[in-house]
Amino acid sequence: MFRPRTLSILMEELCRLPGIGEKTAQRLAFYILRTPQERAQRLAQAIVEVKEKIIFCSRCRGITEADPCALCTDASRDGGLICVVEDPSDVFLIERTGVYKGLYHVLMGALSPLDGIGPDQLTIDALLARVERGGIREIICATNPNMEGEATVLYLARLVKPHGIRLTRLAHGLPVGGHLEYADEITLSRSLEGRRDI
Amino acid sequence: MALYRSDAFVLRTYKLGESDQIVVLFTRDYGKLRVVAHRNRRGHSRTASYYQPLTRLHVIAYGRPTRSLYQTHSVDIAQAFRVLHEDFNLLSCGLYMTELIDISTQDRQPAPELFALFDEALEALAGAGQVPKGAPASVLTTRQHERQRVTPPMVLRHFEISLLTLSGYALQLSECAHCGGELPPGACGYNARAGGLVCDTCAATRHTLKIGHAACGYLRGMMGHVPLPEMLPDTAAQQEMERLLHLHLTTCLGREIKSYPFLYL
Ligand SMILES: [Zn+2]
Ligand SMILES: [Zn+2]
Repeated sequence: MFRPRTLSILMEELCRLPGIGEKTAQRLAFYILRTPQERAQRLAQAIVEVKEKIIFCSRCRGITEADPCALCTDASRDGGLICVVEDPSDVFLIERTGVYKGLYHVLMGALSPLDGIGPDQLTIDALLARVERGGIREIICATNPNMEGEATVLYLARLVKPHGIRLTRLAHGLPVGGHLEYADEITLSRSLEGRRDI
Repeated sequence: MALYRSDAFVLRTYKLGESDQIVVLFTRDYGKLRVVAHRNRRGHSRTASYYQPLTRLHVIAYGRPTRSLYQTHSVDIAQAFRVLHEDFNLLSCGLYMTELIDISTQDRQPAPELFALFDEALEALAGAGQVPKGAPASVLTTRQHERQRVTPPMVLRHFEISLLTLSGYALQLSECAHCGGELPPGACGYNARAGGLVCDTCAATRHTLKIGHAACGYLRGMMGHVPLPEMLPDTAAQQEMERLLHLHLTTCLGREIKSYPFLYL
């Protein structure tokens, strides 16, 4: 099929993005083509800048433009609480809830015995260093509720418990707005275990 | 279109596109089957929590027998092995066995003996996790030698030795694995290339792992050549068995086992 070379290159690059197939890539490419010059310029510039300016925070390993990040230097946040997440994007998910006022620690993944991903490939050492520096009352594990996330929690428990720090994990529960009938047995049984007083 | 109804263990899951997954099942009746688990657009799936390793499911799948991917009609949990998901060491042991099963099985090649072995080993591992720590002596001393045998490492040794035998890589322990000659009565050398214990003459010119008398005896017991000794071998003998079996497994299977280092974390 005839297609100008530059358009083909743009489509190929768009195709590499998650969830973008060839049809969507074509639609996006033509949209960019029709868009005013300066808007296209801003998009290109934004992509370049995000790669140039975003770094990992040396304390929490979250993404930031300044090190340490705004979350780590915010004096109004509770420095005795650390919420452990797998990916930098998880920080923003929890921040969006607006209910958490502690600090974070990004592991950069989860333990996966079947893939051979061990503690050395995560930022567990850095977390332990934070623990050893003292002042931490509680660590909240907000890893994914799957085998890798569970393995990570169990491993952290082993390392953190001797320090006498409270270790908690997110409740496994029923989705809000859902229906009991559609919950599977595992979720339902864990919700029962994690029930609370009203 | 064919219908496959069987008990199954989840061996692995892989992402398929944005929201679906491929679940590798080890079924009792059809060997390894790959099924697609769909999720809706918000990522919710009623059965996602079922597809975790170390869970025995009852699955009804369907698809063309010639295809490599199947669809699920229904999934139910037959056994959840909860204790294995609540302790890092037990979880590591369980996943290590899961990986060995994955390596040793092929798509649509029924292996009911391996299925039974895996099922029994997971039961034993779950049982080993339930012996209460610091329980009163009376609990531990009833049928003492049976309780002593079900420590997690010993469950793994039994599993490894049986898996090797069922896969056609049985350890040669009764005569020299190289020349067929008689083995010395006490300690022996193990040679990975020969696939078992070797006599003193053959050991002289080969790289061997020294295996003491107690470990040799216990290994023979586990293979069913002699009655299993009543008492567990001591720590040194257990380490010899562990090293021998690891070397034998990696030589026979031709690869490293990714989850192996987790057993020693
Ligand atoms: Zn930070
Ligand atoms: Zn010989």
